[in-house]
Amino acid sequence: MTLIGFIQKEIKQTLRDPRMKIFLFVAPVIQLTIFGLALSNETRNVRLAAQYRPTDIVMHDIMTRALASKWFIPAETTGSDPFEWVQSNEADAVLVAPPNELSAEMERGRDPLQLLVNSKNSLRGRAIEMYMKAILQEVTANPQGNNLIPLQFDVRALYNPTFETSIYMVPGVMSMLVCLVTIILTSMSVARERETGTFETLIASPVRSSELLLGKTVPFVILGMIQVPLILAVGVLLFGLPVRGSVFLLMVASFFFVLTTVAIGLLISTIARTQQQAMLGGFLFLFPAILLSGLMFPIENMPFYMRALAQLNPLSHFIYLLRNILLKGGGGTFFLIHVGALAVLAAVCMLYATYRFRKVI
Amino acid sequence: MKNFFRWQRAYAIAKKEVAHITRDKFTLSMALVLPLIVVTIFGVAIEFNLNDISTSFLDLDKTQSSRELMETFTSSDYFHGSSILTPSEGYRRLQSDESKVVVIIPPDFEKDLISGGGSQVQVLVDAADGQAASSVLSYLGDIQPRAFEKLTGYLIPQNIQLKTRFLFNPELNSKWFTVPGLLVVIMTMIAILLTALTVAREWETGSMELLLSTPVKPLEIIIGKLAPYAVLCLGAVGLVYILARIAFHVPFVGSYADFLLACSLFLITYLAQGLMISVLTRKQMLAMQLAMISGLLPSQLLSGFIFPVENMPPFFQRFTMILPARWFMNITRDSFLQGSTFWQMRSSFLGLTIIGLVFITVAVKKFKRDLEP
Repeated sequence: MTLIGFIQKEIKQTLRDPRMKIFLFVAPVIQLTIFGLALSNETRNVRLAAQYRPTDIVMHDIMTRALASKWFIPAETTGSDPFEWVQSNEADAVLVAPPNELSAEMERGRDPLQLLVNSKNSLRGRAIEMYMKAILQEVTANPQGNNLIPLQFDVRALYNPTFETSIYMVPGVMSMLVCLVTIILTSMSVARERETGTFETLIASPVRSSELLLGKTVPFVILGMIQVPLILAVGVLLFGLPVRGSVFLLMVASFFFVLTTVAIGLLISTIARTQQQAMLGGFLFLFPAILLSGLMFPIENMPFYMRALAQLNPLSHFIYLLRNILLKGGGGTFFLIHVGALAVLAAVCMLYATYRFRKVI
Repeated sequence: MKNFFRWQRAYAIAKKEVAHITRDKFTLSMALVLPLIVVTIFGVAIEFNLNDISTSFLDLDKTQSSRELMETFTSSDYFHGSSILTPSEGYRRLQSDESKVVVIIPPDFEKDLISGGGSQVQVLVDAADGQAASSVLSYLGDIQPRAFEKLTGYLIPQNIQLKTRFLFNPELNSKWFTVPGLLVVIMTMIAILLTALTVAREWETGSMELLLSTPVKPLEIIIGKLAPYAVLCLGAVGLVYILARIAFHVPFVGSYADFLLACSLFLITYLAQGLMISVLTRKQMLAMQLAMISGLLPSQLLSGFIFPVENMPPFFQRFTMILPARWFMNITRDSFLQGSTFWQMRSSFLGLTIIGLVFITVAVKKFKRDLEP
């Protein structure tokens, strides 16, 4: 009975401040919307400028086609030095025709067409070159299509045929938001009790330590589990995120994930003495965890030991699971392996946190 | 009015704050260790360009040509793969994330290729992971002409020779892009979060009221409390700068004066934001949430740190203009890699200054109104 009272108190305390309710339930929805709409790695809106003689028909053709494609937009440039256009960020890419017209050079094939690319961002730089190559191929292919290469790839994008960025970003952002809230709330809640001294009162009261432990974890597991369907609903309603797999499996996966993150939060709180320390400790975990989760950068690319480390990261397992269940209707062994991994992580973190927690008491 | 501001009193507050920070070894080490960890992760583990994509090949043709096609794929660094026997095996592998790509070579592949009728190779791509999918698409464009030339011996006529010059990052090293960006993220973290929390703590424990009943003026409190964090922040910046230059060989071709000016502007802006948050919330837990939502997440995700602003829809491109981090991110990268002059970066400086002034005015006004009787 004391336990239920304790849990009630904890939830009430967390939600007492109306601003906290906003942070917990409204903010993630807004964030998901913003990040889901805005974030994309697909290179677009490349500001393209060109330097050529007005009589050059081929260059004119290239520019018309480039600007008609969805990749390039015209750049507004000042001055006459193409390098400076790029350096002053007026243009992302500049085509510089050979001193003789490109139309003439095509016959003789000596002076190449130059493309200056701002490649600060290597990914973008590479994409711009690729787009330009595709456009040049289009320009050189004559109307009969004789120059088309007779070896064609018929590409089918499965699970997300229109390449909608939000479809694969939303599951990732969702797991990140849940993780952020649960870890930080849990760790700061215990740290606050220690900082203000109410923790001593709690220990002195007839509450048993196991009840204390459950009372400090169950509420945050519940809050986390409320957040999951909430954010998911936004994903489905706003972004048309498909739910191809079983919602039950999804909730099972979420449960083990939330359990793990709450345990990690608890663990941090046993080390931290003040809320500030708890928060910084939370970040010490969150930063690497988010960066190495596969949300922003592919895990497959990392060196071997980093990939091994990623196996210990609850976030990467959860993102795998979310994408698999939502987009591919996953289940079976894939589900079992990753949920199993999450369960093991949750158990280990919980046990260690309990051990530390008792020691602190 | 003579008594309005005294450095002496601000100094006393600062001294107390420094004592507070140095006593709390945990916070101090976090503030310095966290940047180190983040920079190391970026330097060691993060690579934009996807290599070694696991691919499954279903060869229904089983001829010299089909084998050579598969070899073109696997010898390219981009793909590595294994053979499968049935289409359903391919789907299963995609479904369970064992393969990102399935290449299906049709039965009459060689015949069609030699007769010149054109052959179609089916490529199934797992677009649930968008990054992998878009990389695959660009690699295919590279593989296609190479495979054709290798299989048939024909050279594809290249009427237009394209020579690309990759400026400012000629080796397309993604670390040159991310590591300078980290400076911005780390500054945000320390400036907004720590400031918001320490000032909120004074409110929460009630010691702010105590401070106010002393002859110390609000402005002195602000400066005294924030100055040590500004120093801590600049320390972290120096650390990241040294790491970037020495460990990751990122060049710095711009002007140090411009860069330091931008640094200070940005720092003051974010300290003001941290202060504003603490006045608004007065509780550490809330302060932390608000700092995260208004400072940390946007500065990481919407500033162009990883996801370029140019790729966003027009509305969001305009929306990011209210984020100081977006402007500072531009200045940082332009200073490190591009060597832009102050005049070339004028719009970024202008944006940063305007937002900075707004933040500082609002924070100081709010702080004073809440404090003065």
